[in-house]
Amino acid sequence: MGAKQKPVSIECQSIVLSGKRYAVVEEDTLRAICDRACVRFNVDTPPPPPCDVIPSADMLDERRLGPRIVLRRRRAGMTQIELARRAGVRVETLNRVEKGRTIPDFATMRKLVVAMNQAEATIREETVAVERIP
Amino acid sequence: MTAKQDRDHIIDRICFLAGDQVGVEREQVSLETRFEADLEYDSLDKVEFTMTVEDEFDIDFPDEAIADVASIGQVVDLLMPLLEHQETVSAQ
Repeated sequence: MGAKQKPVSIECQSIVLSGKRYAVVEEDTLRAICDRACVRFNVDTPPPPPCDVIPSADMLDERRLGPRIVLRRRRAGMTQIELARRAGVRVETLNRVEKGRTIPDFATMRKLVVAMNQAEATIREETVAVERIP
Repeated sequence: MTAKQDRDHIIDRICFLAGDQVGVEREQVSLETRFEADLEYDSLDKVEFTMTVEDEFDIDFPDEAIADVASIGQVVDLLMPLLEHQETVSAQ
């Protein structure tokens, strides 16, 4: 029997899509894990869009933007309702953005980013404060 | 520093920040570089880049103006008058 490999830890984000929780891991990380486990790594190529429709830049933006906002919001430790309230946008709008159904205009996106940045800064400050407690 | 050196420095910083947002080397970015077509920016990248530039140069872009820019050159064109205005105000 070969020598036991030393365990390594990885950090990843998670998102919930259609009620299922998914871990979001960088492709290189997953590839390295598969290598260690002697598992073949096959990237699933997404199927072509129906009706031979070539996605426009806006469609691609919507698909990519939603999960990115979800990750940022969770990193900021906020629910959709909290973020919507802090940013002053309708929760329905935020929900549609996160589901990739719409792209907010620049001003709305800026409000969301400002609110998420502020929340992340608060978390950082609280973490530093806790670390300073002897 | 001459006005041209100023402008060159500003262009250099803008190119760096635009590339840095999406992990692209400074050397790959020029005035002609387009955010969506070349750097593959999405809406979030564009807002974050805008806010980074605003912090760096202590200015505020009007949303309706920055929302429509498509290239680095257009950002510089928008930024320069704001910086000139800022200089004028602070000199008074």
